[in-house]
Amino acid sequence: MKKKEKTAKKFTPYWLLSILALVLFFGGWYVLTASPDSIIPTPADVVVRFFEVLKEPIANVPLWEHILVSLRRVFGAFLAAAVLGVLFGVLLGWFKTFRKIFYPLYNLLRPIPPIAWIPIIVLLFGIGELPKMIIVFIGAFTPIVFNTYSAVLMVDPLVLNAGIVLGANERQLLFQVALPDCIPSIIAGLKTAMSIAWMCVVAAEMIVSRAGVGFLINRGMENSDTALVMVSMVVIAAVSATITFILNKLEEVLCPWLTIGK
Amino acid sequence: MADNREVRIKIRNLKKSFTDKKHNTLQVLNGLSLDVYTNEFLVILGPGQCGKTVLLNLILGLDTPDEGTIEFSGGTPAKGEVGMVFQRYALFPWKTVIQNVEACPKFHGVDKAKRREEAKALIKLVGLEGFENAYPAALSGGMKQRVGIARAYATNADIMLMDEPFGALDAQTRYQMQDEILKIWQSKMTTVVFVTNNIEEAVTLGDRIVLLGNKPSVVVNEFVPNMARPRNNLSQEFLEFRNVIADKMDLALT
Repeated sequence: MKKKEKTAKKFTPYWLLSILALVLFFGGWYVLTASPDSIIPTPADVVVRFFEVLKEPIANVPLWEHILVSLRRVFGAFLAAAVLGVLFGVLLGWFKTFRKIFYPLYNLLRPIPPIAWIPIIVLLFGIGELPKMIIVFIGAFTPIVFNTYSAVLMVDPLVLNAGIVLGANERQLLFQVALPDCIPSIIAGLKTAMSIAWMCVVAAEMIVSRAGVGFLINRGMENSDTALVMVSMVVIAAVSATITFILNKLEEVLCPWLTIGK
Repeated sequence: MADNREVRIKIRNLKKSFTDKKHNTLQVLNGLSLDVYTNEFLVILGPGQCGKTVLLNLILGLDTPDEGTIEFSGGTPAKGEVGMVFQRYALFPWKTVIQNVEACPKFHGVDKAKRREEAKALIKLVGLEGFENAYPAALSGGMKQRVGIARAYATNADIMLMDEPFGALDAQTRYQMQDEILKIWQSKMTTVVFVTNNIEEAVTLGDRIVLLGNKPSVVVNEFVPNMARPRNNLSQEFLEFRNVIADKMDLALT
């Protein structure tokens, strides 16, 4: 960390480069869309539309509630996926019999995109809250299982040996040696899962829903309100960035040993 | 001289081989016999890959021999009743220094106040006072191995196995750690089995030095450096002793 700060002081102020990239992006966007017959709105149009949406509800639902509806779906499904995914991953990684039974099945189902499940899920569970949460669950569950499973399987044998030599019994070896060693990978899996969950909720809402950020995109598309589509995209990006920020902070708190010397 | 001493570990005719996926069998230990005496500092000296780690794993009970026996005076110890210092430290990265040191008593259900107190005393003994709450990632190699040593001694075991514990350290730190380990051994009165491939280290430390041959391994020679400690590694006596072992080691390799 100290090294990085030193180079930063000596040479380029790197934050200027980040600003420059943003300016180029929005500048380019403006230049490309400035002509009156452009079908894509300018950044300014999007900002104006954003403040309009803040004031007037869409489909009788204010913007913050659209966001809340999506967040509720994401967090409900994500929490279930986190609990069950970590459990399933640990069982797969730690118990050979369990692995032999379920790993081939898991591996077979894993590559199916969560969105491909939508027709089946709608057929089985209709169009209420549950089917949307199931789609999100499928999206989040897969990476959580995979990261947990790989981490448990790849726990440093030396660290396990140290645990055995120091007198850990089988249970202590799992809970006090193997699992703590896996926490960083599990958290990495949770982060991936969270962004996939957020993508899935938008997709599920675009197909059937009356509220949520995915619904907003769909409404914009149906009404040729491209500015609304882009407002929704900005909202999705902002919410996602906030969640990632919180997860990163959580990681720092849960794994203080990882931030040393970085 | 050693005959009137009590044997702590009696190893007889130990054989161990491993078979790889292509069904090639590699005989690692081939009838190794060895006595380890109570409270001695025994150095096991051998070239790299000669089965020293396999021998330690067998003593620890992490692996079972194909043939032969390992007997302990007073019965086979349970896991956590023999101390072990690893070459690559094998510290728990998510635990602080003091949490690493108290790992064994924690596994055994010793109450927190008691194990903390013991851990603090050991941390002081290895010279890491003030680093109790540091994570291993923040420590130098030498400091990490001090934690490893303290953690092994926290088992309260009377047998300490050390697998090339200073192999990964720079020369300066290595000399310093050799002095320290002798001091700790003398203050704690334990039986130490110290594995190394470094002749100078063997002569500096050992009450007795056992030379292993290349695979399949047996004991090819035994040396007793009757020199007072601390041993000066530049003295005539030290250098001559070192040369004698070096000659035998060359023979063992051929």
